[in-house]
Amino acid sequence: MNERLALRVLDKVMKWDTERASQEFRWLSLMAHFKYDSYRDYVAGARFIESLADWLQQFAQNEREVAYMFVRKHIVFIGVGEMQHLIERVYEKTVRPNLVTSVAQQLAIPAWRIWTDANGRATYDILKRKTLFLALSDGARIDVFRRANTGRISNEQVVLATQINKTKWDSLLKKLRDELGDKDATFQNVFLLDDFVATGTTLLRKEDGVWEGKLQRFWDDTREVVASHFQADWKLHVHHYLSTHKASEDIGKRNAEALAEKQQDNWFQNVVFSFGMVLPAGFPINTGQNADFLKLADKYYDPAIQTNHTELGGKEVRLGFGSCALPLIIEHNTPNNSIALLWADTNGSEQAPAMRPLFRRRQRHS
Amino acid sequence: MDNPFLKRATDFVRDEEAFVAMVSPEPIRYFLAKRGQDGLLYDRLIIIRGTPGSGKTTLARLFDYPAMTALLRNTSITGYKQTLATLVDCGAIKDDNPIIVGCRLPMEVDYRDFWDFPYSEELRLGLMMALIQARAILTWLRNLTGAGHDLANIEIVPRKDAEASLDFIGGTNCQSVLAKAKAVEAAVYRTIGALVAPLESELETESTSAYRPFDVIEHFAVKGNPDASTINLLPLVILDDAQVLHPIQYRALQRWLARRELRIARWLLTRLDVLHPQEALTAVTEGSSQPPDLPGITSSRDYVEIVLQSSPDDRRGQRIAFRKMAKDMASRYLRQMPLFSGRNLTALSDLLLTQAEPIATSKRTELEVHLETTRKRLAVSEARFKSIREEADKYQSADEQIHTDVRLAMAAVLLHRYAKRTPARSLFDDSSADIEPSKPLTADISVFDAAKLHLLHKYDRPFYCGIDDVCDASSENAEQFLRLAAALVNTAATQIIKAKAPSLDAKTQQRLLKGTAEEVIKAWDFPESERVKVLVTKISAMCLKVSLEGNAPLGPGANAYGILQKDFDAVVRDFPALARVLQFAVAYNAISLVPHYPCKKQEWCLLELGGMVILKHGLTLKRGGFIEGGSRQLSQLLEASSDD
Repeated sequence: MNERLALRVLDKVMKWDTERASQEFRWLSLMAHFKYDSYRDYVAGARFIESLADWLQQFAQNEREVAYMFVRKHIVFIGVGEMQHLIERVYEKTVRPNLVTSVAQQLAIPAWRIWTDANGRATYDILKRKTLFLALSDGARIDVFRRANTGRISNEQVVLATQINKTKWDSLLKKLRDELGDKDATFQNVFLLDDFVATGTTLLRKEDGVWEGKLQRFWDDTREVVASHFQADWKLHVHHYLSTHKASEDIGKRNAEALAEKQQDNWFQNVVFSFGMVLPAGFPINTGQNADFLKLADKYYDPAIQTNHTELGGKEVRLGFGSCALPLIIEHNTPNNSIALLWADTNGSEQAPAMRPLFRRRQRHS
Repeated sequence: MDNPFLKRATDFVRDEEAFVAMVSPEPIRYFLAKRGQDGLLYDRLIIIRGTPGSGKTTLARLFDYPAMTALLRNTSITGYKQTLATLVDCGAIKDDNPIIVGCRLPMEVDYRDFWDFPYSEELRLGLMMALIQARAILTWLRNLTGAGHDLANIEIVPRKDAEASLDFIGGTNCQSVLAKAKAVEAAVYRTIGALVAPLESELETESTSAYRPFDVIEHFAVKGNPDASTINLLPLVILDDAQVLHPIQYRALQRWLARRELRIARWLLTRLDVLHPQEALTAVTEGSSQPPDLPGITSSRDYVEIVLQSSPDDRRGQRIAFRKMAKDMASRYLRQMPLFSGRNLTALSDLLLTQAEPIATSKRTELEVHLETTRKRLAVSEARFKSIREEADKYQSADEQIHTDVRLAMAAVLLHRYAKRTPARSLFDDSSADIEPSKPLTADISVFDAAKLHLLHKYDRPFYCGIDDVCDASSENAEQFLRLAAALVNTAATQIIKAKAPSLDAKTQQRLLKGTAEEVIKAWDFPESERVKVLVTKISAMCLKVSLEGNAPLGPGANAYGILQKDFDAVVRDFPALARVLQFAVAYNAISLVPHYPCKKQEWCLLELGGMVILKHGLTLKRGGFIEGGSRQLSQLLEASSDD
């Protein structure tokens, strides 16, 4: 469908007069080209404007304006450019300051002297090489991270997944030792990278009295190599490019809880959580500002989207996983914490309406 | 739905072929061709002044060598032919060969920085001149080599009396000339770029030693052409946006470029801001600023000043030329929009209906009742009223169909005129007495125009419609035209998408034009803009009052404020604050000056409101109607607003 036809269909759906249509067409064309058409799940002929027209048709005529204005005013779309920027910032804003602080403490010199001190620079380089970067999910875009740091971080320091077998660990260690010319060298830092965290449940949660999540799995996977491949005081950094305000406050507490419960030998000793950008506390939609749209979210909800996984965050996903109520879209996938009306796709039933997505979500969890 | 009207498309085009395809040659033909034929464009300093958006940079870019060579590469393309012919008329191209090699140096970057250095004025100016000359040399040679000429085949031909200075610019060999220019530019740039300005004694020799290529060069001789000929190219340097310089810098630059011994062609492009109010107002009233403090320089002999708009000479001709240019520009832009070009809609005029819709029947009935009431109030006999109605009904317009509502409004105007031209009577007089007016009543175009304006304000009947109104409301400024056209084109595009006819009715045009004008005025942020807004608002209110008088004494109405010329000539001396406000009002299209306007056996200077102000306040676009005033009253108006 070409853009003109898509706009015409949308115009019919919305029943705008010429003046309004003129304003909206300009905005829609601009935003579709500038941002929304880059959503990964869109295909030729069914991009943003077409999807919007289709999405709006699930609502009654008198509800469409509310739905449209929600998209117009409240959606936050993290596009390719923004995500690339967040990834490019990781080294400069998070990794480097961490390394500098460590070197300064190790050499007992002020941080600003490291670059004028030959020993400081050398120690920094060694520490940098003793740092590993691992992707927690596809969203980490570790390929982009690697390219953004070409010449600064060796390919041997970047690993595509967190579940690494013993052979791979040995290989990583051997390359570290060969490169540093130090047969006793071990890793000092591990950075686990991911794109987005909304509740932190996927990362770490207690389920039926048992700790679960990616962090727990990483602990399980590294147990056998911790003593041999890592320094005694090694540090785990968990970095998310984007976070909700809630997650940024909760994760650290949950980790402290896990450490207190599991005791020292059964959990990471040094864990640092960092975030490229934290969404403001008032970011989730609420009844104060979005009462009309929340009514639509209530009315057009099909419980069929609930799964075993979604129940970890609460019974319903009307407002998204964990009832986060986020108006957030990320270019490669819509988080399940975003309001379900934006991403859910169901066939409907006699009891519930079919839900049509504006930004269809590809499920990562089964 | 990309709308090229929303941006100055030519500013964003990097490819020369695309640029020359989009640019309209009309303003160049209008402003420069005659002077080019007279041989005045390249032998002395040309100062081109204009308001923002008047097309200075577009004009300069066309004379840039890469644009000229792009034209010459594509002489067979129809779209380029007009532009090529214009450059031939301007004497820049002859026999399919360029005569000049142009380079455009924007003054926005670096040059103003010299003024902040802790050096003597002479040294600061010297550094600026050195940088200008070095960059001009680099650009000329880059343009020539970019056009395929080998540097080894380019030679500098010096002025006969300047051979002794040749060594200081690197000789005649362009490789050494280029190396010298690079060295000078680098040395000067190191000074500008330094975090802390170096001491005078520490300045690099390259930046302070004698380097005056403009004094030395007569022309470039380019050999190695396919026909083994040698082409002589006159260097042209175009210094764009010179208003960013400090006024003292600007004057020194002007004085330096105006020297008669220079052989290169040199153009200085600037807004009016940089001038003293006296010069700015003189520039637009007399066509030349005649600065009093440039000793030994007379404007006619040593430089030519061209004001790109608002020139008092040949205003009718300028309006016609601008309409032609604007239509041409709109066509070129529409052709870039597949939504229109795919339907063969490439003329903006085709999208704008010129026939305004009549008022609703209920309103027309109201108008008829009002007319009858007026007749009774003015004690006009029924027989006379009948003849007035017949006179109004008789009027025919060559351009549009006249609806009943307009004829009724025309009759109302004639009714008031009749009352004015007969002795005053009261309601108790015998209304059957039919007195002949002192002057016959005629329903002419002025009554027709007045009637339409009255209907606009009383019944919101569309008044501004059609391409000519859009052009006239642009104050002969390309950027303003594009702003107005953008809104219209955008709505026409929307109608196409909505599967409706693309043409816009008069009501829609009126709404869009007025809305855009309001946006433009709201966004004014130039110096003195708040006071300019106050000034034009007050003038508009006075114009509107007189325009809406029942007998329409000024026909189509007023859109200007008249001050006796002798009073206006003294405005800078007598009312300096007002002069400064007027300077910026003129510089940013809020007002145009029409000097030496003869009326009632006196000479006036009209402060004609800009198109955007006219649209916002609903005044006539026709010129000539003004309210009489004085500089003192105007100054008092401003002072009163300051006290508010």
